[in-house]
Amino acid sequence: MNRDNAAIQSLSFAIVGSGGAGVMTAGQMLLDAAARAGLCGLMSRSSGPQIRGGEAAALLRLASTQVESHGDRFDVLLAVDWQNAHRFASEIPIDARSFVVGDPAEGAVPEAFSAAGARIVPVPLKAIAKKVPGGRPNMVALGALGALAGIGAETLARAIEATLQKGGEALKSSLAAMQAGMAAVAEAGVSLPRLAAGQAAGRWTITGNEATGLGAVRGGVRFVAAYPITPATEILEWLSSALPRVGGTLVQAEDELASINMAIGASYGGVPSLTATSGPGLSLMTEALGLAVAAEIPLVVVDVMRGGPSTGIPTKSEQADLNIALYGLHGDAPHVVVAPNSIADCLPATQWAVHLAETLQVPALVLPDQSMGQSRIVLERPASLPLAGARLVAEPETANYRRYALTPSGISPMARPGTRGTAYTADGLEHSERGIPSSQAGDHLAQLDKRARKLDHADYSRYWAEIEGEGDVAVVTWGSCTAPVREALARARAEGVKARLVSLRLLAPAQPERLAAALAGVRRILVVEQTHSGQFHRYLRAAFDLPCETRVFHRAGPLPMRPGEIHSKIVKELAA
Amino acid sequence: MNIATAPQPFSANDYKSDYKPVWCPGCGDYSVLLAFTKAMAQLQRPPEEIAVISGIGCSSRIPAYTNCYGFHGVHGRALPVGTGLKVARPELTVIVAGGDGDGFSIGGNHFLHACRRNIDITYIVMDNRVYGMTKGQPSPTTEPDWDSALAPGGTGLRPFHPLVIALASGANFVARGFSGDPNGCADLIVQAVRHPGFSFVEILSPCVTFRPDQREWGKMVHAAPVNPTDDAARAARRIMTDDGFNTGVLYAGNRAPFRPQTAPAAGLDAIEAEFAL
Amino acid sequence: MTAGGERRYSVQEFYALLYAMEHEAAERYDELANQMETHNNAPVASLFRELAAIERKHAVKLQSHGQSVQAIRPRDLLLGASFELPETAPLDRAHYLMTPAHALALALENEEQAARCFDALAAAAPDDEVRKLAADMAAEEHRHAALIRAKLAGLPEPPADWDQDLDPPRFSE
Ligand SMILES: Cc1ncc(C[n+]2csc(CCOP(=O)(O)OP(=O)(O)O)c2C)c(N)n1
Ligand code: SF4
Repeated sequence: MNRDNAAIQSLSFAIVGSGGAGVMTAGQMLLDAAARAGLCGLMSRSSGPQIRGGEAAALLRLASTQVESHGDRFDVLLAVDWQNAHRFASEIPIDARSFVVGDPAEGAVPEAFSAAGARIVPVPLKAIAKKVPGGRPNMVALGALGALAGIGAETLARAIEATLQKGGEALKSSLAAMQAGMAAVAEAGVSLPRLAAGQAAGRWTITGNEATGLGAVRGGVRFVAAYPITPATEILEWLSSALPRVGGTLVQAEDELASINMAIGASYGGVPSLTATSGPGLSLMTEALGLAVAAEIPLVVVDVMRGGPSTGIPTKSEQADLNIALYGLHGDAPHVVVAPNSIADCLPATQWAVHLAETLQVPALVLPDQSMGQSRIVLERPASLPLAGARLVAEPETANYRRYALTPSGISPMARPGTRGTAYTADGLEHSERGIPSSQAGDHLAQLDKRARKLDHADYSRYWAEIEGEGDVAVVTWGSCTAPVREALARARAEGVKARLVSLRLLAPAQPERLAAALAGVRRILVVEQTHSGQFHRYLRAAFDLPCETRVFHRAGPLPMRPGEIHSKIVKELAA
Repeated sequence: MNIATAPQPFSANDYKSDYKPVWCPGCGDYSVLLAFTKAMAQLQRPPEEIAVISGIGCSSRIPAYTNCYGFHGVHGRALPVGTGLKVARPELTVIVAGGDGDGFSIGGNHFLHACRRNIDITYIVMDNRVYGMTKGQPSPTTEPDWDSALAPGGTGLRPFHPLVIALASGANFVARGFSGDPNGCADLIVQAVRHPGFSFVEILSPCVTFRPDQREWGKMVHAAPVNPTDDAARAARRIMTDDGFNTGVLYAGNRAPFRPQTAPAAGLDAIEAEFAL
Repeated sequence: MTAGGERRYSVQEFYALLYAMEHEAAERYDELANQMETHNNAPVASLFRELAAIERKHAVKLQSHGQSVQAIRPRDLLLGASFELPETAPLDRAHYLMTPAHALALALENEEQAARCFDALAAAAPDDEVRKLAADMAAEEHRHAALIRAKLAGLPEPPADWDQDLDPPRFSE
């Protein structure tokens, strides 16, 4: 148990194994069982480069309350086998208080793990499984971990049944293997502190990518164009079955140039549209993003960030697409960039992005990252948001219709094709109010002003940032860093540090006045982000007024940001 | 022949906007615009139910010259925009139009996949075998020995064969026209729009500024001496062996057009239920 | 060009053909006038505009002949080697530097072609009424041609370098 964490009561488990061992399935079942037992939790995955048969790790953190990120250490590392497991050593920090559960038949605990001085708990997973007809070691492991987590056999059984819905022999042997695993732990005489459980009823389990998809659907998106890319594919796959059920459509495109332009075409047709991708795909989309700015086409583009540049580290996380999201467009191209600040927030943040795109007639980028997208959490059913942004539509037969009319708000009615008397040509060329191509200085300035004005006048007050706590120091962060920052701040507060948290959800357009107000009375801030070059810090410097004392903690991915490392920076940089 | 038909609500001029083309006088694209307006008048589709989608190039300027809904996007991406629009709004008549550079070079991949996807849209390429808008560079359909500043002495490359590629990629209707024959082109466009699935109409449309030699095309084109076929292999063989100046409908196939996935309607609650424990 | 080829027209069809010809010719001259206006060639623009007005007057006169002939599709009426109706100026003959002499020469070709077309129609006419109509039209087109020829004679020959532009082509996306 992470006792050093005043805010979160949690237990962390890592299950490793290679090719076909079923560690992901066991992890998934453990999370499901924990949820049914009234716990909250988080599960992420890590794996080797092989498509099948490689080493894999399921990383879980179970807790009494909602958790959004991993802690500093793992309480239990269970290995079904040790093949190449050392590759996960940096992702699975263990210490002298941890248990390492391993099958003696699979050889000794690798140096990378044994060096931590953890207590080794030998459990002959294979031999136990063999005694059960059709039994598998991963189900023995599930039983063992379930027992350590204090989850009852009944609940574990329900989680297994929910996965093996076909029942039959496979179910029977899985249940028996699981029970044998529980018994083995009891025999070994190891235990962990109990987590206080809450009410399971009404809770959900969802991944960040699913939450993003659902946010889109809740926001009214009814057309999606898709080109697969890790780690965004699951958004597209989820939408592909969800959309037709609500009267929407998903088209698989030939590339990202096509997917974004398809979404633009559909949105031009009046249907709220989205595409999702990752860094390499976003790079291909930037020209069309500029088109959507110039032609004023509402559009949502989700970029689930992964390690970059180039193909980079597709399966791991980093926040380094911030620059391209903010600055990737050529010309003066005001647009919206929204970042969810937690896995759960993928839903409302995406829904808000749809709302902003539709009401402001701009492209809105949403920037979750791999660690959010591909992690599954347990949470209370997300509330509905009062965000049904509808675009301003031109009335039929509008006299002297001007698509790009210079209105006070900058938002001009957008005619829906098929409407009589308002035909116009949407254009990426600079244009007059009517949409006629123009290279005149006056038209250019007027349209630039108009497009900027729309964004300036919008009301972002409710969602632009999460601001928590009081104090004369603050941590300013965004995205997936928010959860470990929050946890680190909780520890620091318990130690008497009075500090605020400001996590920006709206990255563009920049809100310098709002940030200044949020930081009123703050004498020093610590900027926390997961980039090698400090992109967020540079952006804050460029577009915001910061208190004179600004400290920075930025580091590259792919290892997740840990509360502990942030906590020590807070102590060093802010507590003094 | 019935010439005493009732007056029709839409004449060709109803499809023309009051914004005047900036094309060079003599450019074939004027005639394609004319052919388009005549075709729409033949179809009697109300202008607001038609969307003309283009990329970038001289030819891609066409949408604003029509009285229809238009979209003038970025270079090479007209087909995806048209695809998204048609899937989202199937009741609209979607015409995608542009040049050979836009469609076969920068947009080449979309061309293949639009043919393959076979969505019910019409794609008109004004082929002048040159990049007009950027002042005369060779395009994928340019003759190998055509001299230009960017490729002195010619590219030495074999020209791309769009009609055959369209056939091989699954286009459901393939025709070639010549801009000097606007009425003929209008007929081709009418047939293309009426034909289900992806219809590809290549219109030889001279660039009088950078390819003055193409003023001779009028003497070279001739009606295809054969009837259209629904046999793609036969059509491909014919097109590959003709002189490139055969006009008419060269292939009219029977492939079923693209249909997006459908599913029984469900409320959001039903969809969200899958996340509940 | 033999307008109508082997085809024999009824009176009604003949009027339809006439209307289509004049209407199309007027539209085309207007289109050319627009092009010249856009390209700052005012003298030729106004000349094309005048020609359009003349043809349009003819078309309007023919429209009074009853049936809704606007619906006529020229392709139904004309079988032949040419792409367009006689009297319709081909769009590819336009040039932004063309001179009034070029424009008149183009108009002359159109009138002459129309005259030849009506001559042929008169010769092939199935009945006296159509024959007379065609012959009248032929005479009128010959008269127009003569007028234009006279006008043309009064204009200076375009210089040999009339299409020379001192600047390279401009616009570019
Ligand atoms: C991404 C991008 N690359 C290059 C250009 C420059 N460009 C504009 S039009 C054009 C080629 C046009 O040729 P084509 O499509 O054949 O049309 P045409 O002008 O001959 O009608 C190019 C290369 C551009 N606008 N965008
Ligand atoms: S440059 Fe060529 S293609 Fe472009 S408008 Fe002029 S003639 Fe047409």
